Amino acid sequence: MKTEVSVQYVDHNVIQEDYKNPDDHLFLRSACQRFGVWYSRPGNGVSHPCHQENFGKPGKTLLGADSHTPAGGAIGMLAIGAGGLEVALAMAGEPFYTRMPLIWGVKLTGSLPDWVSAKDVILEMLRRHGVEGGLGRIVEYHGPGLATLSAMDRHVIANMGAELGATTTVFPSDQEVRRFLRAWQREEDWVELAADPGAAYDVHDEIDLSSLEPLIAMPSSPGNVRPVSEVAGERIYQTYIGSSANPGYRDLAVSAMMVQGRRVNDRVSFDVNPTSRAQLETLVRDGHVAHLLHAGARLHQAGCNGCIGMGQAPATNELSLRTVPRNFPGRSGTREDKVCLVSPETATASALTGVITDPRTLGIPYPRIADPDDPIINREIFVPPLPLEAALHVDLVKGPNIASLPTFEPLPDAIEAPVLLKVADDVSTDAIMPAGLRVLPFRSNIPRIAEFSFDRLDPTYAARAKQVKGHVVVGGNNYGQGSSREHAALGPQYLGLRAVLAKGFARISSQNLINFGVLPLTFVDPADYDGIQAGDVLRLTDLRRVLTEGGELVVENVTRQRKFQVRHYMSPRQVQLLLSGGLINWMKERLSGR
Amino acid sequence: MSLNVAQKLIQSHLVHGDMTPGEEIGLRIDQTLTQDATGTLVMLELEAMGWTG
Repeated sequence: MKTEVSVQYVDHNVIQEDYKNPDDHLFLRSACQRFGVWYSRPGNGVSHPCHQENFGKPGKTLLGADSHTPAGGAIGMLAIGAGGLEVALAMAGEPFYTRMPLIWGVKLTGSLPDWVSAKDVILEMLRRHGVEGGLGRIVEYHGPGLATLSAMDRHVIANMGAELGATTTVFPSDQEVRRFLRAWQREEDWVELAADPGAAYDVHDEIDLSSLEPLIAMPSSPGNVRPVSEVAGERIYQTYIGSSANPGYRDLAVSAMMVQGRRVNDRVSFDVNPTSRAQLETLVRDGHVAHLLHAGARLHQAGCNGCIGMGQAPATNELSLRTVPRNFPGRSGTREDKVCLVSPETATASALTGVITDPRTLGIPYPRIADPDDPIINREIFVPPLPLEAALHVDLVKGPNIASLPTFEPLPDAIEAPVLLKVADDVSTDAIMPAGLRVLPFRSNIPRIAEFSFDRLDPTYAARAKQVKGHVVVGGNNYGQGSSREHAALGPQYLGLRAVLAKGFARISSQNLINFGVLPLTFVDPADYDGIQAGDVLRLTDLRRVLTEGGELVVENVTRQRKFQVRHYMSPRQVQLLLSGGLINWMKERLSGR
Repeated sequence: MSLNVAQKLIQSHLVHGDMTPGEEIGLRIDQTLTQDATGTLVMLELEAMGWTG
């Protein structure tokens, strides 16, 4: 790899109902050896805490194909979540392109009271600013209150900065980061990183940590935040501790100390999800796991687990209090779920009583506990990359559900193709390519997953697409809104989609179409949308010249013998990508030195 | 010019554009992480690009 370090974690699909997930694990292991990537096997834990413990370095950039990658900001990294293809390009040495965000300085003063912890800080940010408050911004915490927050406390806050919609969150690299890295036996990776005296911020906010109280995000949005005291007394079914949003030793140990010598309420499912193997080993060594188990905990393997709906689904119409980052509707696996986001203290207090409980009212002493300076370190459990000569001889291990990507053709100079589908405004990527258990297992098999393209809108689309050589889709406004998943471009492309003519595109959607060689075109006159019917044959000519030189493109509706104009909004760089047949071909040409 | 932490991180990795809010910037990337739900496609993309390591 061209990067200093690239790591592949196996933390999401660790339940092995059939061969597909384990086949993916073996494929990933072989791909890591082939391409020069570290491999973290199933059971090692969630990427974000594992990365902070073993690989992250202050002052470095981290691009991750996971939306909670910003957690790395806890130790002074610029850590950003992105699409898979962008990460693949970064691995191959290409820069990552984004828009320069506004920098949002949040000054922390004071120190957290008993029973209030890092989760309550980020919930306070969400209470104030909502789930879109961070869009186009980087959150930077500063001020004297920082000294009271451990590196893992900062991880909690940086991780859930994603819920504010922020590009990322950064903390300075100070003596606490140095202590953290020393504890993980890599103090040599520490560099100091602090704002210059008098440094300015584009946006300002301030939080007095001493004034905070236990908070809870009620169903079903991380922005639906209230004081725990206002909703105390409501019956619960489940508490869930762990996840990448509360991954620290402290987060589980505080729970263990609260339940020591007690039993959780007999109606409550008390689910414990350690987030890294090393943390779990250390919690076992120190006796905390024994206390949790004795009190009634259900111990799960280190991984994402129930946080992404892989097991531990809550009961019908019952509250589930979780330390996870998100409570979007249905994410837990139960359709009409009622998931709340809380600190480990609030979750555990509620597990003991069986109702939502403000931990300050438990009447027990607050177990103040710090992350240990001697965690059990198990770096040998990560599989390092092979030397290049050896790597070149590794074959990719592909089970029956893993297929190489189809080849992409350079953009032809003329397209004459039928409109196979005409869709309305606001078609989401979920409608173009559904997620969920029916479809997601085929994520490594483009020919197979392509069969699901548009099937909610028109189940005959895939079959019809295969009968013609190339086709066009016509869309309304905001084509491809929602999730950024690349399969929504790749699936239809595989079936022969050459161009989408729409009134408008969602930003990431048009980017993904271009990346995979599909032409996104916008009607000059939106009324021309009405003049096209499914089945019409459209002719686009002189494409390469018009795209390069700019200006409007004339489309001929061969069926109706009329013409109309479309235009594109691509940058010169994007035009070049498209002419090559997309980003993969473009990169392939670069790598082969052409 | 006094810089905050975010600006220092961006400036030290800037290979395209300047730090004007809203402008396109290109950043050099030191580290990457992938997880299994996204990583299989990333590896298939590297294979399709002809990446040799």
